[in-house]
Amino acid sequence: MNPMDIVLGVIGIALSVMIFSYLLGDNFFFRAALYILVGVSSGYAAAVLVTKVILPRLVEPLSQNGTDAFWLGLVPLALCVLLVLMLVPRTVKAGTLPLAFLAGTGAAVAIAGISRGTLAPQLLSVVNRFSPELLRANAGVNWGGIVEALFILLGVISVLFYFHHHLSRKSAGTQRPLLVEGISSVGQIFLGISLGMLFVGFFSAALTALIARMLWLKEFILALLAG
Amino acid sequence: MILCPHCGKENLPQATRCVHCGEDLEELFRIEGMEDNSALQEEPDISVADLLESFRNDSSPKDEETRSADSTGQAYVSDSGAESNAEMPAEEEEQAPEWLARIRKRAQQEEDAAGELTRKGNSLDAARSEDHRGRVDEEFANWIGRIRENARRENLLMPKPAINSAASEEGVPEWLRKVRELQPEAEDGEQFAEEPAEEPAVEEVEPEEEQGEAAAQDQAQETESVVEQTSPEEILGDTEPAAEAVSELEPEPEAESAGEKAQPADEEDSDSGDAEELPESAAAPQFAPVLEELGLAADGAALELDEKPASSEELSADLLLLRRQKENAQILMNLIGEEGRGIPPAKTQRVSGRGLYRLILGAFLLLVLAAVLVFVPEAKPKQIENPAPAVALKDVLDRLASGDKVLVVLEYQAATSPELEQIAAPVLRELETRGAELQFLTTHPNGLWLADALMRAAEIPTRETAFLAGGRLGVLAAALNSEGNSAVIPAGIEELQKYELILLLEDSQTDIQNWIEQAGPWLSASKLGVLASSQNEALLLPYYDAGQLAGFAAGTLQGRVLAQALDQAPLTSAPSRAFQAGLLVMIAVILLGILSKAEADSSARHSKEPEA
Repeated sequence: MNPMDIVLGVIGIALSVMIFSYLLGDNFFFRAALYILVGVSSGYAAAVLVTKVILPRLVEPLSQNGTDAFWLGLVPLALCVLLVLMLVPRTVKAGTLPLAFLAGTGAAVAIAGISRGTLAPQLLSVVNRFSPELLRANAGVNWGGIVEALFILLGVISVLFYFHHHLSRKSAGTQRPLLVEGISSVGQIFLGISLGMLFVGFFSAALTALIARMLWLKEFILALLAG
Repeated sequence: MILCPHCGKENLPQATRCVHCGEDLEELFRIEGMEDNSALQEEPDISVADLLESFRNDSSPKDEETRSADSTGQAYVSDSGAESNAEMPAEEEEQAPEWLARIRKRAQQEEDAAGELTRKGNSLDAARSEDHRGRVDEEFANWIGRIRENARRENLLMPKPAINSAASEEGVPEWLRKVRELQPEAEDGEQFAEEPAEEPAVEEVEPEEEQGEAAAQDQAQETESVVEQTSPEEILGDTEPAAEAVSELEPEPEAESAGEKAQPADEEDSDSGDAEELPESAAAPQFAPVLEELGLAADGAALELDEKPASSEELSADLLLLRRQKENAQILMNLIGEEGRGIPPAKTQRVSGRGLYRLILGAFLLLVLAAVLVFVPEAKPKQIENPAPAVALKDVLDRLASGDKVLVVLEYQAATSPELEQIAAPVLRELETRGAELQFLTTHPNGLWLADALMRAAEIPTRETAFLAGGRLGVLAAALNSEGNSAVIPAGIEELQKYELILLLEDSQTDIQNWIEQAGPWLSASKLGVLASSQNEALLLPYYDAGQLAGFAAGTLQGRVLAQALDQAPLTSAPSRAFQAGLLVMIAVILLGILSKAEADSSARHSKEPEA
């Protein structure tokens, strides 16, 4: 193990212990580790953006005077200048143009993507569960497929009921019919199962990261002791 | 028009009750001619003791009704400053004017008039009975004293016209002279303008709304203690007990009426002179705590001093800023100052002992993991049935031939890199073995160096990693790059349709949805494969069931299964025993939490039942 590995390993151990110190509550060492993480990440991201985006996409085209890339490069340059003007209090409003352009474009792309990539395919998937080809098996009835399709349909409807009537009940403060309340309760069960699965996934990911870090510590200490 | 002795506002001459405060107006008995008696008005300094004594001596057995009418008339005429009639001897009744004789005669003859005129007299006589005489006298004296006190204070509050000659006699500005007039004790260098809110200046008080004799009797029980402790002389004086008694009265609701109310008391103030003002002002700071305790100090009664204005008229106006106005202005200034600032985080009350429990649980989990990692040997991997998504992904990988292009997209953070490397390393080794042409792309800056770590972990040759900027928009641009000449797409990355497989290494739900929603509709369903952390499994299942993914493997367990299916050895840094131990600890913690919560709820329920 060379000296640089030892130094980096000690720094890694120190940072890990600083993060673990959160068990004692929010303290200086934990915050210092977070600040180091945020600072290093931001600096690295800025360096990457400068070298991978600004220089090749903005500066380089503008250096090619008279070409199409030059004229196209003026558009992002103008937007960047407007953004920079936001630093001056008297010209803050100038920055709203590129921000509005960015927000509008992002919202349009997101809505189109959700509609085309999630809503429509998922609804079609629920409907296709009831296709005759799937419900027939060997010239008989695929009861398993029918139950599965009904279960999925029940889950979709009950969760939608829960969200719709839960919010409307909170706003109106009125008591809903018993059937609606029952379906909403079923939706709550589906939601609870989904959130439980998400929690298990998050915990598993965090546990894996913790085990990997402890395993690294173990190997480093063993290597350090072995010389 | 007549002035109400209670509120000082104008009423019609024939009014029997004040339209502003409801006070009985005994001016009904005021007869023109008597009002013009200058001798009566020139004696404002009434001696209450003498007046009460005259009331007592005036009740001779003969001609009871006449004496009652006379004494009543004396009493109420004295309200307007003509109290000296109380000393009129009985034999002078014969020398009374003709109009007075007619009135008395008619009052005796007419029952209505007698009822109206003598009722008050009778009630006064009844009040002066043995049981109530002393109380009524004290209340009356108290009332007179409060009127005087009120008038004197209102006179002080009323802005006086500026006197040019006095402005610069001693080099003292006009505004400072007014300040000293209001607060003489503050002349010793005290800065008024710096601490205006802490100096309650002159308290404005007014008599209680029900100042009639009946009202005085009704409220006698409440004020008896105060009245008994204060003699009329003390009330009329400027001693501290008198001020305390006055301070218990209601404050002046409107400071604007101070000028109107101060009019009748001008003469009294002129008599009393500055000698009375000085001790009163000196006692003002002593009254401040009492007034603040009673809530009178903030009701606009106190005066505030402001900066030096330009003219004498403005000086007086600025000096009379009400405290409430100043407080409202300060609130408005604070609101303007807070504009644009972030809302401070709400302070949450920490539960005591919570940090200790967290420390114990965290230390216990760390100890268990460390013990398992150090002392428990790694178990042999069991043959687990492949989950359907992992099997589907394996089928896609099996179909790849040598030279097929595979785009590996890295979108995970350093924290999840151990998990992702355990899942992806066997797959990348398999692709390298099959001779697939691998290209690496990332949309996160961290992906540039994480890709190198992944290639080292997978033991494949290092390749350059391209950076795709723009997030969701960049993904859409890459999907629409049908000709492969887009300036947004980094060099070396071709049209997405030309790749046989786009393998996403993800730990973020948002990034997965970006690729499925933006690039998925433009690609065939068999081209998107996902290797994700375990937290994304629940999200990926619906997309796989809908046919939008070729397959996926989420978590170290599925990654291990996929590696076994591909005949690749999983990474050595995958201690399944420690993972199982950690899961067991967490399950135990959750069960303990459920039990303790149920116990706490039960205890709370049992504690509420006895109360109900």
